[in-house]
Amino acid sequence: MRILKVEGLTKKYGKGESEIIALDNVDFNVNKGEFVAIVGQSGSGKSTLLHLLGGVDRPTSGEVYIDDTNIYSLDENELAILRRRKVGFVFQFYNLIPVLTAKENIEMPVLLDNKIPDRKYLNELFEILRLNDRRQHLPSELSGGQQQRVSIGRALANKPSIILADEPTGNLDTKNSKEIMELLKYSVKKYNQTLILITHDLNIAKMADRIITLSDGKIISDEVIKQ
Amino acid sequence: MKSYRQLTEKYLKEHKKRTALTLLGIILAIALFSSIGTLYYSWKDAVIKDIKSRGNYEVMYSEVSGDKVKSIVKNAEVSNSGLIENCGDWRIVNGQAKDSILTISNYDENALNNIFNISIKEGRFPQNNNEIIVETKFTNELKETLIGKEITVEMKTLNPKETSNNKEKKFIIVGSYDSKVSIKGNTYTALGYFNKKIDNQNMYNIYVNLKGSRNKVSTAIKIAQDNSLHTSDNNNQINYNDALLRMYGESQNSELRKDMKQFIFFISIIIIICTIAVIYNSFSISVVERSKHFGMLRAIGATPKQIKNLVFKEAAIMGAIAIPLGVITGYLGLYIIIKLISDFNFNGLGSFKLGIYPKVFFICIGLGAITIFLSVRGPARLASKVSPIDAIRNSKNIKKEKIKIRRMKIIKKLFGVEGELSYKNIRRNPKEFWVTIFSLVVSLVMFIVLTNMISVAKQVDTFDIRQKYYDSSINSSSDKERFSPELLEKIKKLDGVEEVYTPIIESRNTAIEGDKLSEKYFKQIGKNGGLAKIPNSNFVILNHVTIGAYDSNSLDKAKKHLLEGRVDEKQLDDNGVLLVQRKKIIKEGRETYEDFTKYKVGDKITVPAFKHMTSVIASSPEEATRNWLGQLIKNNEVNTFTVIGILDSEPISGIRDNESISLIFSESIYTKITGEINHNGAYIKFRNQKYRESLNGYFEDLCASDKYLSYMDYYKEKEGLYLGLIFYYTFIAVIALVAIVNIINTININLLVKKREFGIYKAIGMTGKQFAKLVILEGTLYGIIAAVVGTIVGTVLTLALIDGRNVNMGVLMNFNIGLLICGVVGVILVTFLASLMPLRKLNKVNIVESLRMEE
Repeated sequence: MRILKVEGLTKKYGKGESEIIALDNVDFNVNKGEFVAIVGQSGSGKSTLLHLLGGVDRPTSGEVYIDDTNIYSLDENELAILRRRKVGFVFQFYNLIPVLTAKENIEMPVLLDNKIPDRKYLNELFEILRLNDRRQHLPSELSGGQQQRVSIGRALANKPSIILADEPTGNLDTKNSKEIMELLKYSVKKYNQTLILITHDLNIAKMADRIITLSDGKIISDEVIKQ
Repeated sequence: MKSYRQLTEKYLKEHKKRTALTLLGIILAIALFSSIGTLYYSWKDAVIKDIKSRGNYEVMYSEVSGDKVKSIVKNAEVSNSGLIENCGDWRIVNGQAKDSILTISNYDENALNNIFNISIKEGRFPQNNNEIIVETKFTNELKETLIGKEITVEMKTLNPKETSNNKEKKFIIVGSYDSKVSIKGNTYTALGYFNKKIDNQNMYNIYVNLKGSRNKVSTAIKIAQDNSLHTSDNNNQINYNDALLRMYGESQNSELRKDMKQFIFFISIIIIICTIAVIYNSFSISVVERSKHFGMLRAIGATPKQIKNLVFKEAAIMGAIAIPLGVITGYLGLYIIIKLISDFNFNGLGSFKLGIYPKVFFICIGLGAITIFLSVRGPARLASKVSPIDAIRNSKNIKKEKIKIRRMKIIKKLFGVEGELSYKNIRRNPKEFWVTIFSLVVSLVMFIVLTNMISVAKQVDTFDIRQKYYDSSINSSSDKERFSPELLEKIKKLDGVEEVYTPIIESRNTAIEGDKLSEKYFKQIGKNGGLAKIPNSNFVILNHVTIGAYDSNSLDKAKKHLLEGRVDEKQLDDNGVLLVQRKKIIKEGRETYEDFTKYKVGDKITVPAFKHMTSVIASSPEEATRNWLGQLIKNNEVNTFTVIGILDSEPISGIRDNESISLIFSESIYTKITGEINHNGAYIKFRNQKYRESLNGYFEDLCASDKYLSYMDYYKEKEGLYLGLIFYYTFIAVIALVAIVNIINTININLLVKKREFGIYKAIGMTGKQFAKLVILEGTLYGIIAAVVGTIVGTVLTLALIDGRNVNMGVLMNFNIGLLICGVVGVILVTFLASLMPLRKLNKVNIVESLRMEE
């Protein structure tokens, strides 16, 4: 079942001679539960693509459909709510809120929805993410790996349809990187979520079901690794 | 760039807005110092000038024999002196001015020119013993040319010089002068010739200015003691120009000196602390923001001292710009306020002029430099402690802050998730949080305390509320010719006169039933005398009881001062009386208000008849009074009145502190009990400023042509009050401005440095509305917290200060809730508005851009 459809997605910066085409007429679809890795050189447009998929940026032209909803037909508020409920972001530099504990950081998307967090689900998350003894710790009291796990927990808190991860292991050592990837894979499988991940690490890319390669803003290959 | 120090200028230019805001904070503070200093010294100079115009001396030694004069005048501590010889009162025995009295004194040259600055209006100064000059009031009233005329006078009062009671003298009037002191009635001042050869048998008054600027009183006493002058209370030969000495801070009243010094010290500390708050916050935030850059500099070889110097240099540049601007702004601001007041014809400022005082400038530089240095020390040290490795690691700002977990359930309940987040954000830097809160709290507390003090002072002043109901008064001093009814009618009909009050107020000794006096007061004033029991009765004598008759207009105003009962003319005409029984008394050196008697509305007051005392055999006036009143009581010659109302004061005459009661009757009852009704004056309220000014001239001319009439313009007395009010309100406004600058700066910077963080909120799904709520609350929570703290502190402080002045609680003091609400709303509004500015900026920032930002 298709969860994501991208049509003619283009992003340009600047005008005239200084115009930069970060993304050039990109088309692709993603099915529910798929693990897609997006790879490419620096400046190939990977992060731009991810940001556009998550609705944190607007394209110059083109459409993105999540669950058959054209996300760019939504206004800012609706887009924010979509990000909160349908999309989970994992950033390279964790981007946790420094004044909130691990628990509060994870719960934040649910709280923004004015809902009461599902304790059972969250406890499960803490278990999976191995953060039970770190719930009440501030980000400054956590290691890099722990912070990234909190970041993953936050992305999963509202049970989104899609997880978008921008170089989630980029700031971690090998051991932690491996751990994080296993966690991501496990959780998306458990909750039947779609994972789209940017990486420049081919080893991590090979863990995915499918690898999309970008170069100069265009898809140059779209390879299914695992069925 | 030639030196690493040029980094400072680059940073200042890069963050123009922040630099400008910090500069503004410093400028305001220095402006405050400058304006307070200039106002204080200008006011002081104006008052000193005014005092000196009436007599430029510090000490006067009275009745000093001629043989001691030289010793005093030549004393090493004496800077300059003037001599006056009192020649006594002389009655004119011939001519048009027959029976007029001349009070003749001889002034030496110094007394004429330096001490009293007497200038000849017409003619010349006397050159021999037979010549005198007279005050211009004398020549004006006689309406004839007196210069060159001879007059014959006979002694009216004993003068140590004269031995015969009926000595006659002839004087030639050679000139006229404007006297500083005017005596009503037919007594005039005159100046005779001063014989330069001091007569050892004569007595002189010596007016002296001392050399030293300190310890004038003790120096004056020493000079007196060295010359064997009397310095004890009963026969003190030393008289001080208290008004002048007070201005020099050399008043005998040490309480006053201490109060003034404490007040100025307190004000200065407040200003310094508020300014430190502004500068500290601004530098603190900017240092944190640039810690990566400082770390980089350290990584490439800068020493901690060099980093500190960068921050100090920044502060020095700001100081160099802001301090002179602040001094000029303070002076100009004050100049504009004074000019506006003068232009609007308040006329409340009289001869006050703004001066330029170099010492104010230097004090401002000093205080400004100290304030800036104290503020920047902390942030400079912080900057120097940033380690190179912190800069290199990207997550450095998370590690750097020592954040505490904060929970505030009440905030979450009131403001939701966004509120809780905001609260945690503002609390993450405790120093910055408390400094900002402190700055806001100080403003709010100042506002509450000072505005309440002003309103209490105004209430206390209502005990002397002449200015409240009328602008001036005209009175007759003649015993024989009272204020003519025709003149009264004429005044009432004058165009521009809005209201005329014609109370009759006089003081009598009478007696009341002793058990009606309050015990407390009875005990307290008992030792001061004036209280004596009338034998064979339960009456006690009360001296200086004010009895009065109020006209309808006066009774109308009396209603505003009603504590109990009613002001009803009909009831007053039916043997009713209005009682004033609340008096200000001094108890253990402090002021308090207490009820003098136990009378309540409906009670009967019985007093001896108000008949003039006929001859009574007695050994003293007190005994005569007691015998006379005793006689009246024994013969049942008493009057009984019903208390129909109790007032807090006499609203028209404003008489107070008689340590006695006041009985106010209607005119008909007054006539009945005293047998006569003669108005001796009128109190006038003008329709507006224009009429007041034009009619003042009319009344002054009227009095000039009638020696028994005198006119007083109470409006002029408001000079000091206006200046005081300008000072208070300007001070409050500027302190509030300093706090506003601080809060704008702090909120602005705090929000803008967290662009990346705010990007995260949006990225994880915060809607625009939720985001706006978060940002606004980050600012407004400062205001709400400061409002809570400031309300408590301000209220407690106000109540304590008012109570400390011993005003009877609940009687005079009304804590003004309205002012409190204004202050609270103001604080919250300011913080709310301060957060709207950065919100607009933050809304424009793209999520992706903010996420990519380095912090």
